[in-house]
Amino acid sequence: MAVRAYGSCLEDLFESAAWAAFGIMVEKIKNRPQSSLTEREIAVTGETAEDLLKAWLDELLFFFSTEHLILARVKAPEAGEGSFRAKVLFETFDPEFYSVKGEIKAVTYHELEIKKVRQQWQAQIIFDV
Amino acid sequence: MWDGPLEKIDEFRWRIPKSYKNGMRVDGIIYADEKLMKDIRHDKAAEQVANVAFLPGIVGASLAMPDIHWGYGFPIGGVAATDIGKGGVVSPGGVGFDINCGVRLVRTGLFEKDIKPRLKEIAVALFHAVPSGIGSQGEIRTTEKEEKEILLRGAGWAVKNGYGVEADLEATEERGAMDGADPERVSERAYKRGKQQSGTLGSGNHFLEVQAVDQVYDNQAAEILGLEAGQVMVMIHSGSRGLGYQVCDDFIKVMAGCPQKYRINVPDRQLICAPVESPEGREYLCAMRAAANYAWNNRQCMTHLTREVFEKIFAGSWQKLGMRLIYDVAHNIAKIETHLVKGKERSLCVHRKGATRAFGPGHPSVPEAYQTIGQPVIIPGDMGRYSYLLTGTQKAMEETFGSTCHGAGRLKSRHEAKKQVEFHTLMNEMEAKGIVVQASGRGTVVEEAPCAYKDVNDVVDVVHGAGIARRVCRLRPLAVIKG
Repeated sequence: MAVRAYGSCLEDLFESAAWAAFGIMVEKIKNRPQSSLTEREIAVTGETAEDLLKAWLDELLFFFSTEHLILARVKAPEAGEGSFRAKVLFETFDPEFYSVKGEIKAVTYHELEIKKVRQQWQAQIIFDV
Repeated sequence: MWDGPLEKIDEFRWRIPKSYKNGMRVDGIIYADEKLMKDIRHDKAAEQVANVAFLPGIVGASLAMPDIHWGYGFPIGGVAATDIGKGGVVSPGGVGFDINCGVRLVRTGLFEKDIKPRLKEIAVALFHAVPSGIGSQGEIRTTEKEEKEILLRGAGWAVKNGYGVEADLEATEERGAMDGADPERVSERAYKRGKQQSGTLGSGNHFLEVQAVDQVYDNQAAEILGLEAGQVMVMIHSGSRGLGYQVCDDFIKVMAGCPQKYRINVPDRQLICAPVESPEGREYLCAMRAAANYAWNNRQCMTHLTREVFEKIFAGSWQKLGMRLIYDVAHNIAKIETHLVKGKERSLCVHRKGATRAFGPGHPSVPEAYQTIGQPVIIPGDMGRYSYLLTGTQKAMEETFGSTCHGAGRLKSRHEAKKQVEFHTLMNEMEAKGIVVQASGRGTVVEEAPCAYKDVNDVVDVVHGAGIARRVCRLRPLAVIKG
């Protein structure tokens, strides 16, 4: 499944891509009142912006598949030369509040591309679902 | 729309000449008839067949089966064999993320009329007994030590623990475990992703179906397989779950430097590869075999859970109900096999990504009971139409490294299917056909709607017509269980 994500800066772009990934996997069916959130710090490195984006999405996917953590908020994202880090708040999957839409097996390198079009960043990502 | 060169070889084969692209080492050959070729031209799958022809050591041709469709790097429905002695490579992308995704067929001694009144009950019971994925854990729990044993022994672990019998292993490709698996080559991340998923179905196109034999084409083979018209079957389609996905992902990264190191030129990063006889190639194969073994154990565990459901509903042992495993095939895998290349025996690394092994009669890898008819080949179709049971042929040994198609092949993307198919309309259509559907989400059901797939009848017509598999019987779905 191909996804196109947009952002005004790399940090925004990475966050958009993360929401897109979770949008493929789960759907909120009702709001959870004052749910307790789990915080994780994610830091990835890579040679290119594409490598960083894949590594970032890989981390989120890993937390979802091993601890059933669902993205709630991205705090203080920071894209640097060859690195990206962010604090991420997650909700824990509960079938009362979320339904499972599908599975992402992996983030592929196939036609993975990040580019700046005018003032906006764009990424194309193909997930194996 | 792909407008590259396609030369018609005969009624069922098309050639992409190696002159099409600088770097192709062999021709591409696609098995299809005129009708299927129209669909194939719609996406870039044929371009991917040409790209696979770049692989160092590739022999024969870059092959594609009639269920071919666009994949990530490699097409789905592709077969590529590389000569190990001539620098032949292995590519994780040529196997796919779902290592040893495969399918098994269990016969029963029951007939359609016996189960028709209790179909809903059976579907609900199977849905609850066989967990599908997130939020549901397998009934069969394993410790860390046992997980490692599973990676070594495959379905043998399940049998040892009472979730099957020796005859199940006899009727499984590789007897349910490949030699040369090394659990130490499987990363901690892969272990974590696969944890507690033993005996779980997964989502996407994976399913468990109760089916009836709809038509028998080869009476002699059907008799040997123990089948007749109207008989009830159970088909299980699943793979290596998170563990396999992670093994593939890990080794695409491990091999990132290999094109430079081994001077390999491939046109897509997802085609990354390493010589079979290199540390990276050997390590990948050891980890891939471990993931394949995990998948075989997984399908064996689900067979056990299915048998338990039938035992409860029909108040008799599964043996009494005649629930014998007919066969289990892998359709995403790389194997070291011996084949004739230009009249000489060569040791090849055969990648089958969305393709099924189809060894002919007399091959030593075919179970004794099936020696005269060839290896059973199980072709799942879509949930509203049919599936097939075929057998392998000598012609497949000569033309396709003993390989054939693996399913109907996707026609529409999941996204397109979701836009076009309305859940209730689809459910009404299924009900009108007498098919019970039990699924955890609506999304997966509409993505898997029959219109999202090619007609499996057309696909099987081609492989049968081309002689790379032989029709035995057609199966019609009665109950569909989806994750």
